[in-house]
Order: sequence, then C-alpha cells, then structure tokens
Amino acid sequence: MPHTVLVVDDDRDIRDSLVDLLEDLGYAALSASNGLDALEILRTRRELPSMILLDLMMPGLDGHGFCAAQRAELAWAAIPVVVLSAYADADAQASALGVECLRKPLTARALVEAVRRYCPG
Amino acid sequence: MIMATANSDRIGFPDTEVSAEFLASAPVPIHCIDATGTIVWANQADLALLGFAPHERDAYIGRSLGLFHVDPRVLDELLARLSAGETVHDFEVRLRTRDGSLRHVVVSGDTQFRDGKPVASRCFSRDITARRHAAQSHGPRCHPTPTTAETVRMHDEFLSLASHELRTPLTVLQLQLDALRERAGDADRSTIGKLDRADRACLRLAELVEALLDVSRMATDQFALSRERADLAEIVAAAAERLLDPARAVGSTITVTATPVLGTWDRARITQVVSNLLSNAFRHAAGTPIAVTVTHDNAGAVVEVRDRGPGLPDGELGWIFERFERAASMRHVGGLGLGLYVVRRIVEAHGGAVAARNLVGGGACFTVRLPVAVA
Repeated sequence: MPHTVLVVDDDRDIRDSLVDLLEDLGYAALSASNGLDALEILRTRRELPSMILLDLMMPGLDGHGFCAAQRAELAWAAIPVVVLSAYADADAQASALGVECLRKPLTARALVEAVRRYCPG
Repeated sequence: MIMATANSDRIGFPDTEVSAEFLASAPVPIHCIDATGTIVWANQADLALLGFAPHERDAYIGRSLGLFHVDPRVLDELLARLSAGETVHDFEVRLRTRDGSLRHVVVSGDTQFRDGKPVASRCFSRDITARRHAAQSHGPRCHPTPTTAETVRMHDEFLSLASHELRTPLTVLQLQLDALRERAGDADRSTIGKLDRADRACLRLAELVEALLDVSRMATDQFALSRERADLAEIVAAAAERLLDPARAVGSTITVTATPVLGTWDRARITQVVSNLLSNAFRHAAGTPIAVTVTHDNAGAVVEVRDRGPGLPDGELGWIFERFERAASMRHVGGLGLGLYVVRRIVEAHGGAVAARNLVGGGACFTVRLPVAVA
C-alpha cells in the first residue's frame, strides 16, 4: 500500500505538477484547491494521508486556517505538514506554524527529499 | 458527490450530508453558481450577507446572481474570468441586499469543469463595506497622501503579491523540467542539451526574481536581519556545498577552508552573500577553480571568494557593488548586476564591508569583512 500525500494548492498547474511527480515516484496523491476542500477530504477519506503539502495563500480557507482546523481534530493533528509557499516571508510563516517550509520555486529534488523524510520506504 | 481520488481533485457541490453541514455553518459567506450564473447553493453566512434569514433560503437559491450585483459589467468580468478557468482572488464587487442597502464585497473563487465545459463556480465573499465607508468619509474631493506607514504597508503588499505571482509559474516550470529530465532518461545528447539550457534559463530567472524583490525591499529600507548565534564557517561551508552542482556544470571546482568564527549572523542572508559571490564567479570565471576561505582577525570575520578568471577591469573596481553595475559587457555576460549590490547591502546591514580586487597572477578576490556582533 503506497503512502498517500495530500497536495493543497489553489494553482491548478502546480497541483497537477506535484501530483504527477508524486505518482511517478510511486506515491498515491490526493489534491485540493483550498483549505476547505482539503478538510473535506480528511473528513471523508477512510485512509488518512501520510503527509500534507500545503500552500499558504489560497482563496476561501488559507493554509493558516487549514492548519488550525487540522490540529483541532485529534485524528488529523499528527499528519505532518510541509508548507510550499511563494511568500517572501514563507520561512517565518512556516516557523510560526511549527512546520517545515519549501519555498517556491522549488525543485523536484527538494520535494522528493522532503516527501521521503515523512513517507519512507 | 464529493470525490477525492488518487488522480483527481474534483470537488463537487457540497451535497453529502457531512460536507453540506460543514460548509453551511462556515463563518465565511460561500455560494455556488451554475454555468448560467444562477445561484444553486449558499451557506448561512452568504444568506445573511444579502439580508436573507436562514428560513428564506428558497427566496435566494435559484435566482440569478445578476439580481444582486449593482454593476453588470463588473459581474460580467468576474463571470468571464471564472468561466475561463481563472482562480480569482479578492475581486471587488458591489451588491444590493434584500433591503436595498449597498454592500462592498471582495470575492475569491474558481470554477469546476467537466469535459472541458464550466459546470459550477464557487465563490467565497468578504464584506469590506466598513472599510470602504471609512475611506469615503474623507469626502469625494479629498485624496489624502498616504502616510509613510501606509506607503510601507502598500509596498509590502505589492512585494508579497509580486513574490507570489512571479514564483508560482516558475515553480510549475521547474517541476515540469525536472519531470521531463526524469522521463528523458538516456535520451540523445541534443535533447539533454536542450533540457540543460532550459534548466539554466529557469535558474537564472529564479535568481533574477529573487534579486529584484530584494532590491525593491532594500530600496525602501524594509530590510531587517534575523540574527542568530552561529558559526560563520559552518554557514559558509553549507552555502558552498549547495552550489557544487552548478559549479560542476560550468567546469569549476569549489574548495572551502574555514576557521570557526562564532558570532550573530542572519543565516539566510549570509548564505545569500556566499551564493551570490559564487554565482558571480561561475558567470565571470567559468571553468576556473574557486577558493572560499573563512578566517578572523582583531577586526572580525573575513570571508574571501577567489577565482582564476580574467579579473575585473581596473576602472570599474570601485563601483562594482553599486546597483545595476556590471563590470563585463552586457553583450558577453547576462544579468543586471544586482547580485553584488545585494551582497553589499546584506554585508552593510551586518555592520561589515565588502571589497573586490584583482589578484597577482590573474583572477579576482571578493572580500567580506563582518564584525563579530554579540547577541
């Protein structure tokens, strides 16, 4: 059973690129275009994802709102989150959330290293 | 039906019980319209925004969105952008509520497609009426000059938006290039060469975007360091190690000789200094060995980057660290010369100084002197 990674980003091209890359690597990938959709996936899936790649700036519920809701739910709180952000102060924002940050633009190598850290094997 | 499969991100109308309840009680006004602009779903916050009570849902659902918009052309533009597949952020509209009052609202939303055709758009609204009224209370002929704080805030907002908008397509480009390279495998030399050139162009574009954003930030003195106590030798060595691949790509080698120097530095910015100096060497002294040293004396820490390239034209040594200055001819070496200016500003923010000189026997040496500040 491959690890499942949830990609949350409002940019369709980025979502598709990340999903393609993850599936090429043998992972299963879910995607959502904002925090609300991502929470809905967590609510409705039987198997929770092994990690979440999360954009910060999204319409509706943004990355900060998603993190707050995710942590408020015991079953979801332990899912590791890695922020993918193009914000100039992305590192500081991720640090405030207590999660790892990959700054956009990012390379496939950086992404793969991060995913393998949380989804080994 | 809400779907989330391994290959799909299609989220349909919130028509499962769980999702409907979840979204219906969300504090953010949310509504869905179909391809004709008819409201097909709305949550309680959205009903309240337009002046409808929860039990009056049926009076709202099924009506045309146009009935509530004051400016038809603005609505047309919003719908056109949504139906073109664009994700809209903070699009400002004016709405007429049920009691006739006007609400200023910003809308963010996107559209779902099926078989290439728009099926439904979901819109998240935010009421900014109070803000608009406050702005208008100055009077129609009054155009107050922004205060310094407002100017800084506007500049900050612009930079934040510019960062996001410039880096997002670059991310897609980089990931697609990486995927193509992976799939190219043992493709012919010509294909690999094309990928290499595209990769380099992507990297240069990314560096340029970063430099432009940095220069813009520095131009308004919005440049704060985030210092931490650390070993400068470790920071410099790590920064150099990250550039071993790009060095190899231009036929250069990097050797680092570093003595530990404890002080308080902005790790990310010092990394940027080393990265910019090494990138400068790759560009102007490609194919030559590059030596990086970290030492200290009574005045503080000293970082040097030496190459064996053609050196710097004598007449331009004094101003190579100014904005947009570049010693080599534009015809021969690309770039706007922003990297060295950024180096100077970072070093000066640390209370240090940067200098460049030509080496006897050929090559250039860039010297960064940093005081060992105590946290």
